[in-house]
Amino acid sequence: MDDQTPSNDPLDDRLRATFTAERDDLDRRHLANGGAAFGRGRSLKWIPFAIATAVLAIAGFVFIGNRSNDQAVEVDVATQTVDGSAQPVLYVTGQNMCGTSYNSGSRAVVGDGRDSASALAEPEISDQVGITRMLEAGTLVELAGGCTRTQIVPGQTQTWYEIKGAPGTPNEWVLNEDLVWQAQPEPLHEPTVNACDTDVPDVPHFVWDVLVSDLDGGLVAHTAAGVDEPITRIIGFDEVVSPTGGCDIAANGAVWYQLSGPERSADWVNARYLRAPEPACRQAEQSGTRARNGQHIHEIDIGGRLSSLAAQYGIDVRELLSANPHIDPNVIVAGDLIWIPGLLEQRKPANGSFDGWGVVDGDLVAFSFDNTTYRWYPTEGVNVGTQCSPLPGNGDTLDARPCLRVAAPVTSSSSDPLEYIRWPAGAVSSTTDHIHDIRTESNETCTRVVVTFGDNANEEGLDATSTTLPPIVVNQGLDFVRISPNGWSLESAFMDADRVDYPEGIALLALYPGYEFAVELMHREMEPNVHFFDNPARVLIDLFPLKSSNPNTIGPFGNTFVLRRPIQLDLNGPGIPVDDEIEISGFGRPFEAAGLYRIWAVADDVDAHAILADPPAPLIEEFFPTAGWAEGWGSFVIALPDLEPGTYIAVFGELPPTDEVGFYGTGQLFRVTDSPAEESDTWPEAVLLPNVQLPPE
Amino acid sequence: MKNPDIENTVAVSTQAAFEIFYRREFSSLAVIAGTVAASRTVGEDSAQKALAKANQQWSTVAVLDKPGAWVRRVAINLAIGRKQRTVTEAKTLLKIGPTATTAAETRRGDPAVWAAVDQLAPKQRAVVALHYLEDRPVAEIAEILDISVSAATSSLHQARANLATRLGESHG
Repeated sequence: MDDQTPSNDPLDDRLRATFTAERDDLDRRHLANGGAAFGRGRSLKWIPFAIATAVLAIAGFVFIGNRSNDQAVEVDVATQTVDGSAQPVLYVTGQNMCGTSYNSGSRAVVGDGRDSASALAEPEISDQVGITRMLEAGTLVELAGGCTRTQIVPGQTQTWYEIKGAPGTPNEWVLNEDLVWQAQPEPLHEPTVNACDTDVPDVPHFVWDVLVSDLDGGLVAHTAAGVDEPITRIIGFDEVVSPTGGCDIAANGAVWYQLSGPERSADWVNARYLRAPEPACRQAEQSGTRARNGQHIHEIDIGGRLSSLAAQYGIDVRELLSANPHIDPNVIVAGDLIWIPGLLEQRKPANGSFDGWGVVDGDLVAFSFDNTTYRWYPTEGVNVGTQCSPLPGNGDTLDARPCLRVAAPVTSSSSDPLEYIRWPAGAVSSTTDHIHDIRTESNETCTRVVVTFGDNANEEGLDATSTTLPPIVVNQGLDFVRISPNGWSLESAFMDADRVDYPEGIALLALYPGYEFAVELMHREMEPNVHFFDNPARVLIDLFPLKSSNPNTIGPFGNTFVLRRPIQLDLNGPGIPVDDEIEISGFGRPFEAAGLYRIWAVADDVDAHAILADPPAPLIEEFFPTAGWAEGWGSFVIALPDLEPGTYIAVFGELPPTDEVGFYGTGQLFRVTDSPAEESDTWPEAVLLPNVQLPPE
Repeated sequence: MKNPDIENTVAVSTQAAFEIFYRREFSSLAVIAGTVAASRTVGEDSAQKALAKANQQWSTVAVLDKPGAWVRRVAINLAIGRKQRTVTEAKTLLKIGPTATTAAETRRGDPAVWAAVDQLAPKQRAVVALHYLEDRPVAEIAEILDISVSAATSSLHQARANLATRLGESHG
């Protein structure tokens, strides 16, 4: 018991009795419901069940498929007991069920830093049972083709590889963490077909945009383009694969790539789930709209409808259906590819200007704005410097706002005036850095920045020497570059709840004013509405030139897309008149901009910092009004109570769910004056008082 | 080569540990989060979500010095976030019209105490719940809420003063 709270106090007794009664009642209700974890139908057991189901499906396929080829396949079944019931953990000797790419016959050695590693007769939930022999560090082992994963608890898996046993003994299994690979998959450079109009970039690709909720567990590869079965393997998120150069168009118009598979085999995947980390700014790569034979293809998103698509492109639904005979208008599903007829012809050049441009759904678009909204239309196929036409038949202001695509900034290795990226001097890149690799590459239209996070890019991995995340600073003039994140970075991080939500990831992108951007680490528990990238992960940012005479109409996100402004403490700035209003602006996250603001009056002779250390009851405490906020950024007006001139007012936005943990977002100080209202035109810079706890980095 | 007994022991013990943790913590978590959010429903939901997070990261959470403190912090943060969304929802509901309070939402104990507690600031509610429900000293409360001990002390003191005023009790 704390000595500041007297015991045997009637108030304390009432409080304790009430809280205890509430807990006892909940206990009774909880027990009445069985008391089981997540007993209200919110079972977490779907994870092992789903994995087991998927594995069963794969194993079944493998067995049947190989039986048809008269190949003997051993199917063994182990079990693990979870919550009292046995669940299958399957592996197939000689079969790679992990989705990783390696060749049977590859070699590995038992890793450094280990005295020995266990070899087991079969994958186990514990590496302490079924041990067949101990492998000394440095032992060279030969891989036998098998791979599987076991799961001890949801979210924690172990990867096992099959190795060839000692002479005259059966194969064994070892944990991946015990191995240092000596041989890599040999790429297969013998594409069987390229029916696409473009060449497949001859660079490694990586898997992205795989939903964590996808029961397949990753990108499913098949024996041919556009087929559902047979399945050859499951490729996990962020795994690197090697396209052979083969490319084919499926019946629904989707582009498929041929990949090098295990054992110098080849298989096929839908290319929309692959990305090549370079070169720079490949428009419409793998997703969104793309051009083929002069036409546009639009990929239907979740919830997409033909009518809205037709409206978007300014064409009739019947015209759309006529151009897409493979589409059943009654069964439109996400991923369907719709040919947009005559799109390029409808975007002929015209005179005028536009307000900005960037990338939406992987397509280069031009933006026009009115006071509250922006509109966009594709410009693909329009050459640099070419003016674009208004949308046909559209009577709104877009008709008067044609677009103009301008040249991208030019960079050179010797004298890059733009200095896109400033990597902190002395920074050492390693796989354990928060950011262990930054690459940038430019072409004639834009610059792509590829940021790769290291293994420590989450709060759990922070240590004393790596708690400061180096900012990535983009330096440029005020009028030529805006950061236009592609569909994977900002959209995934902030806006799309279903795309990337990996439980172990913890990094996101933040844009600062002045076109600086940085990567921040955030507390997952404090940001329930922010979706995090996997760890490690890659983030791509495309930089595009901007031409706009109106600084207030820049891009879909505005030019003040900011998480935290540079902080300056300035108590001597211009004040606000008595009986006036103040306008609070800033960035509210999460995006509904819900939050709490508080205002304290601070007398001249009171240390404002002390107020924060032990805040008294505020003069005003209200929730942010959501009106006036858009995309997290916004402002609202507060009518002040009567205050004495000279009084300082401290205003702090406290954003959920960090309400009582720290103050951040906007923190502003104003001084009440008896000056005329014109001073209110010049507000002081946003300030955040020292000693205010910022969200952890 | 497989030893089912050992295997079962390993698997069950891991899962059983979380089950025990769940059973032990749920009701207290629900009360604390419900106090913060001034809603039993939100409290139960926040407790469930916090425990779901613990389950997902159990291998990490289980080895924390104080997993109970961690899960309380998560539940409180969830409740605060949820509370603010609930405010918006409540305003909308007010426009629609009055709704009946469900029996499940009715909290036990002294209604006057709940009414007074609901008037406190969210941080004070959390401090009060942690202190009076679980008899936690301010140092532990500060650790759970990730605030300074002085701030926790101040919050508890202010909360008691406010409650005393509203409940017509004296406070020391």
